[in-house]
Amino acid sequence: MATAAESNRTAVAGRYVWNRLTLHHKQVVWAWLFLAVPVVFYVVIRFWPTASALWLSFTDWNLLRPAHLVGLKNYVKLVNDPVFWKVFRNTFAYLVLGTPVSLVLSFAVAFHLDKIRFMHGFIRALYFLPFLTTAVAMAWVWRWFYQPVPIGIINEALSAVGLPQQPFLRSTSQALPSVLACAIWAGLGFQIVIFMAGLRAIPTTYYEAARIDGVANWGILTRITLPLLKPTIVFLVVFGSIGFLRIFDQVYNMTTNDPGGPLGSTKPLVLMIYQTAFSSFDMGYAAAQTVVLFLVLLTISLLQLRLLRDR
Amino acid sequence: MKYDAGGNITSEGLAVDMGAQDHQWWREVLVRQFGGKPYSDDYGKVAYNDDHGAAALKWYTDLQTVHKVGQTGFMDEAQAAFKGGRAALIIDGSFRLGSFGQIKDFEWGVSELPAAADGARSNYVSYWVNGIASGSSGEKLQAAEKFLAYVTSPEAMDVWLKVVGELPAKPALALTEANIKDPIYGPFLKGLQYGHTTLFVDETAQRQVAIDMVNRVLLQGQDPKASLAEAAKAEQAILDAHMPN
Repeated sequence: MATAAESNRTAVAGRYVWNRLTLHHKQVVWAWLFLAVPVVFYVVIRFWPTASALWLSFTDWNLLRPAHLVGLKNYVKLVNDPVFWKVFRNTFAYLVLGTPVSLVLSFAVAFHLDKIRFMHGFIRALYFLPFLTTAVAMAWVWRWFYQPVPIGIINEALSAVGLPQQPFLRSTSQALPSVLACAIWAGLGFQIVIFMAGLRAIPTTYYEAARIDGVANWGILTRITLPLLKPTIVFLVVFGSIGFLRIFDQVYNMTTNDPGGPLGSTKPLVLMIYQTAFSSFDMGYAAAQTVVLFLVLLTISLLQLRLLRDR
Repeated sequence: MKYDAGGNITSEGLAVDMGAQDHQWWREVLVRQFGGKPYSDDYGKVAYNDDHGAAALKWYTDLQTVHKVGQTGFMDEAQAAFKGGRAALIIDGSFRLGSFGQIKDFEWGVSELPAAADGARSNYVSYWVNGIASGSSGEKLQAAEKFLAYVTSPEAMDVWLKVVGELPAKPALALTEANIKDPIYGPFLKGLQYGHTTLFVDETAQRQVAIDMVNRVLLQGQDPKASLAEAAKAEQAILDAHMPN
């Protein structure tokens, strides 16, 4: 009976405290109660693993024996690893080629698609379709496109018109653009839809005013459309860049019999991390590579936001 | 080799793919048949970086560059080229028998790897090792022991042989009269008698070294000897990283 009375007293005390709070305080308490869910989620799923990856990068953990601190050894190894520099160059090649090409392509498609009324929804859906397909299935289909005859459709076409076959994925110079083409195509639908939403958000009155003043089409594009699309472009540049810097699915699936392409010509940083961690089980070294990837992503994103933000 | 009007290969003599089983063939068979030795006896030191190893590599890459009896990447994968009836020969493991057993379009057979001119034979063999995690105890340990006992029983090995094609580890079961006389299992069993097992420290990474070694010759026209030296250095670094100091 005593415990029941005690708990009753606590409940009464609790209610007393709660009732003494102002409405504002109550709102704050409720807000934090709801916020606790994402906060706990982010701490457990994001921040804690990030912190442990940073710690692991200073250890020699290999899954089997306990981790020992080895200082900067993994980073020194990374700087002296020729594969890392090759991979670093590849990763930036994906970024430097992929981002502008995909943006120009998707803008061109969105710009013209925006003017089409005939089967507009259907054509837009067709462009968006690849975005819904799993990257693995897409990568394998493209892998077969690139094969030599008799199974590769591109080489079959080249041969049919009397042009020499191209090695594509078996070439140290063609392999990276070949993989990139698949990756650009995969993300194109998403970029087109975002661009079209941006285009639709520009008030038509601006265009009407420009036409009355006799501004040419080129002028309308460069003076009205593009400047007003800036928020959309900034979003897509940052979003696309992160995607290309993290490219993995396409590379991994298109070159399984020589992972990362002939002589590492298509290998991006994420594939190197994957191989170091889950094939060589060198977790410390893989964590160091992850930290480098994180810093690269952070630097590029901050740089882009600073350069592209409104002055 | 057969070519179409445009000079493209439509079928090949030997399905070559260093990323498949050819790296095993090169290491443990070709290097030895050319008078060399792939590694030191404890597999801690690379030993193929000499004239024998260079001759073995040149012979292998010459198959594509000089004799043109095969082409890496034809039909995407070596096994696909053979299974599709577009390669006359393939060097592969007994694990592939289950897949090749589905071939309906043509007849095929198995033979031992070719001997060298002086009759020297070698083969690459690998085996599974089953284990129980050291932390297990009580009922879970008992269950694991029971499962292991079953997996290694003649009954289970027989199923494994019939479905997958991999040879049973128990000699009494593998070396039966019927298996030795079998036209498919027989050559694999003979190969066991002179086989070598590479003690890999990181098979994927060591395989990559071999793939790159061949690609430098095929795609960049590097001299086999220089490519071999580069490979030996890279593989030794992998071995050193895993060897206890």
